[in-house]
Amino acid sequence: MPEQAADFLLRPKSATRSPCALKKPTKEVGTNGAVAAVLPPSSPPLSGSCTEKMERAISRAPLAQGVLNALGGPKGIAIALGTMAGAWAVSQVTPAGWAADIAGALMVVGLAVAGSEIASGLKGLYDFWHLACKEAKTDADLDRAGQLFADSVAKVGVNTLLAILDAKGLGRLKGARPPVEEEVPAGRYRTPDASVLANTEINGIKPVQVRPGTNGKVAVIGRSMSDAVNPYAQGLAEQGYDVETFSGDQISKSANNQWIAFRNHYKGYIPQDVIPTTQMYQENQAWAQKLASQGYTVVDTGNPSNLGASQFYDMERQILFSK
Amino acid sequence: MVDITANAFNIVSKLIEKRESLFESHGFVLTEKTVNNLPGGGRFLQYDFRNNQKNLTLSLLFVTAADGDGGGFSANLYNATGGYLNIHDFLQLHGYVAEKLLFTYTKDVPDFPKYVESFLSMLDRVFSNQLKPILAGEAWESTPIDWLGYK
Repeated sequence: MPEQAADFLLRPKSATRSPCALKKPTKEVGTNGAVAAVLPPSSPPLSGSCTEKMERAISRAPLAQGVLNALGGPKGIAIALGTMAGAWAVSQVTPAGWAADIAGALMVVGLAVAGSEIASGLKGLYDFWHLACKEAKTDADLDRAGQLFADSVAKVGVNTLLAILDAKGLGRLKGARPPVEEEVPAGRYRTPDASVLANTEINGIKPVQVRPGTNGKVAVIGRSMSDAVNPYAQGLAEQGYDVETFSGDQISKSANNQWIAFRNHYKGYIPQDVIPTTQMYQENQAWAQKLASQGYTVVDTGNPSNLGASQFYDMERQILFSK
Repeated sequence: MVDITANAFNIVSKLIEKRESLFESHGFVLTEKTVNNLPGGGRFLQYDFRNNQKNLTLSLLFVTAADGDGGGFSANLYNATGGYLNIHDFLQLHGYVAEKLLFTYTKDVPDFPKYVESFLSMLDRVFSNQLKPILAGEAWESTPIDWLGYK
């Protein structure tokens, strides 16, 4: 089961992850209370083309019908994946390989590649294609392929997958519908999709880059807390996202007190060489490292007010975007 | 050689401890007094008070004024949910100019103990008026961190 919830799943605001909506193994309870797995009936050897096998596997994938429809339906998805994975299979013999192709596709839609769960999900789609087309010999194999497809879609995200397919010119082939508009029930958070966030403008601020995440939480960074980070984060929170910035209880009392003492001591001007030695800077650094290690989706709002360089912001970008 | 900082800290400590009832009358009990080093040089004096009934912490900080360096007090309130209220910034946001002027001083202040007493009296008034609903636990207003343009 994938760690990341798919776009269509919502995480409860209780901070615990909602149960994955993928299908569970079927069980039957007998009269003696014992539980036994229900074995699928034996099936004849598979026949049909690669696309047909993929279509059948996708139809078995434990995904909501709305998600399959949004992606273009089992047949449309099979055609699109066949085209993309087939190209990857060819490129495997070159130094570029599928990874470079993924990187290119991600860059087209404005997503960061490093440490990307999306890249892992796309590799999963390639493995799905290989399993369904090259290895599957029974219906059970197609079931496994369907599960792999669902896991991979959950990692990539429906909207990101649509954006990548569009970027690769496969949107028309799959006949996909518009990206899924997620409805957020009360008491739940919206699941972040990096490609959607990359194109989400709030209060005149549009992200310059987005780091995809896995834990369902969004962090916002940028040059100027007041001009960029706070207004953007507030807008995201109003849209139902679980948003975090370097503020409030992310900052210890002692770091805050030290920073305020600086304000009086230096009359508002702190020497550049002193900044990295402050507790505030060090806690900001630890926070950025936490975002990376815990799989936050990170939105970089850039420097919309064209302010001078910031050691804090530069450090955050270095940790989260290697820039 | 006279240690200006140590002298100032002694005066501030004596006056704060002499006026401890000021804080107690607003529900704050003194919990800790520390002297902390500032990276890059300098020190600041810190008094922490706790109001357990309202779940509030008050940190009162003092930095000594010296040549080229500013000095004065900072007073920070923290609530149980990570909320932060800097009293100087709160007064500024609400247009209380006279009160906020007392948070800073220069080394040329003619009567330093009198300055400290004036600051503590002003704090008492602010506790009784502008901050009364907050200290009573009836309201809360966080002030944004002043990043001094660095973040």
